[in-house]
Amino acid sequence: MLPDRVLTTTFTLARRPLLTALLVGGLTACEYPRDPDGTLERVLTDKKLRVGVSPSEPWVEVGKVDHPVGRASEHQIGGVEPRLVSGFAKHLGVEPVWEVDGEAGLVEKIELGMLDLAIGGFTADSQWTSKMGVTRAYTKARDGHGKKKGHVIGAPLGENAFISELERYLDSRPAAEKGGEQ
Amino acid sequence: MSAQETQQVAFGATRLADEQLDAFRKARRLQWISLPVVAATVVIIMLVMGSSQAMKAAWIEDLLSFLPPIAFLIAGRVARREPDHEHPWGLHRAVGIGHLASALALLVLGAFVVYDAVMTLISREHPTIGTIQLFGYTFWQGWLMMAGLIVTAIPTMILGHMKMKAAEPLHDKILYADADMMRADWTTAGGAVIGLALIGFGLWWADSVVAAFIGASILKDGVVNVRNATRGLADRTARTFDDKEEHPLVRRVEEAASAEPAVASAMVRMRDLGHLFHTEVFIVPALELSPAALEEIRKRLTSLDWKLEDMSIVPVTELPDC
Repeated sequence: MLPDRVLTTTFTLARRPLLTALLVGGLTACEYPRDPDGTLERVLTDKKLRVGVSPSEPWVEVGKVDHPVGRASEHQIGGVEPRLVSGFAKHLGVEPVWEVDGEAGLVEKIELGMLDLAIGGFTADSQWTSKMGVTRAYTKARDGHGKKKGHVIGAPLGENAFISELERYLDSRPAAEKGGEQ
Repeated sequence: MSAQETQQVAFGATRLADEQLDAFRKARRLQWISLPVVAATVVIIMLVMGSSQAMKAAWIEDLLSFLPPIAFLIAGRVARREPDHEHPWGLHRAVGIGHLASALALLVLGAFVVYDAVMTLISREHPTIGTIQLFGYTFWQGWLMMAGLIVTAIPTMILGHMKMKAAEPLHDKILYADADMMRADWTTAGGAVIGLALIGFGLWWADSVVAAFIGASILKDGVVNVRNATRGLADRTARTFDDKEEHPLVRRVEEAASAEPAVASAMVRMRDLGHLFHTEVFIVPALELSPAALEEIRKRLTSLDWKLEDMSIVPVTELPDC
């Protein structure tokens, strides 16, 4: 009977960890998971990472900035998140291209595929998560009400290879770079 | 269990024979075990499900699995009450009511899951599944979700198989429906795993498609069980524990009654009260029958099966039409 065969296969795999590891390893080796819209591939091919920023101290600073990491037209850009994203771009071997807009504008541009990343002090419980994919929280900080919230970076929905790559990069950075209270 | 209970368990006025007693005790134990198992399953899936539609559908199906064990335990307790003037046929219908209640929940939630999945598909929402960091290792969350699905499916399937063994001797339709659904949990888990694997390959729509299939299967279970439970409550002729065919006892009692030397012809009406049947045997007597003789016939017929205790012998001049 079918259920018995499924059980047998499962137990067979469990007793042969090497076989299971090869299967899993094989899958992970050949680019898994993938981006339905190929964001990561496009970023690497075009050598450009399009980042939208929305001012939100200390996460994103726009205007006259102490330690700028980039500029968008006449504005200087700095802060925790631009610094992290700039490092991510270097890690990928690409150039970041900055753009300033409000949150709603950024989310719309992400939806339309006009931006690769959106940063603006977004929190994990953000209302935008049905329109914009977000990373795992890279740090935690208290909001105006004193409640601890995770901080995330926005990306196109479902671009899992791209988001996973960013998350791995963020994991590798020291806590000091990420601000907030770990 | 009290000392009284260990000696006799009865459904209403019918004391249970050994086979049924064993099955009932085992079923009751399995249903009590099911509660923490389902609770653990619901918690595990909730922790790992992330934004996958297929996993949300599987989670809802797991939540629904609370209903049949609770319905079984409540109905089982109610059905065991002795009949009285208020309820002369006993309270066995509690089983049919419990069956209908669980079936309605399945129907409504199955429809919701299908609707939700189709809406997500139409809105072209790509499921976002990134990485998770556990014990210093960063890996794709999809693997954790697959592991959660497989790990929770195994005890569910085992419990389902064990419950199915107790369903037939007890003629318990709640137990049968419950066991059938738990046994088939591997299709839900397997489907969700495949959905996740396909998301990994970039096929974002696979998630909603799998969720829609899981929803459709819950809906189908709901429809089939509502139909059977309703017909049973509406006094349809008794059927087997899986509702697949008419119960063989209908024919058997009719043949045994007709074979009685004092009976010229006989006809049987048999309806399922829950665990037990309510039987009316219409006989055209071949000769004058005293109450004692009728009682003898009744005793012989009820001894054919434990479910036949509630039986009336009705002497008539002409057999009714059906």
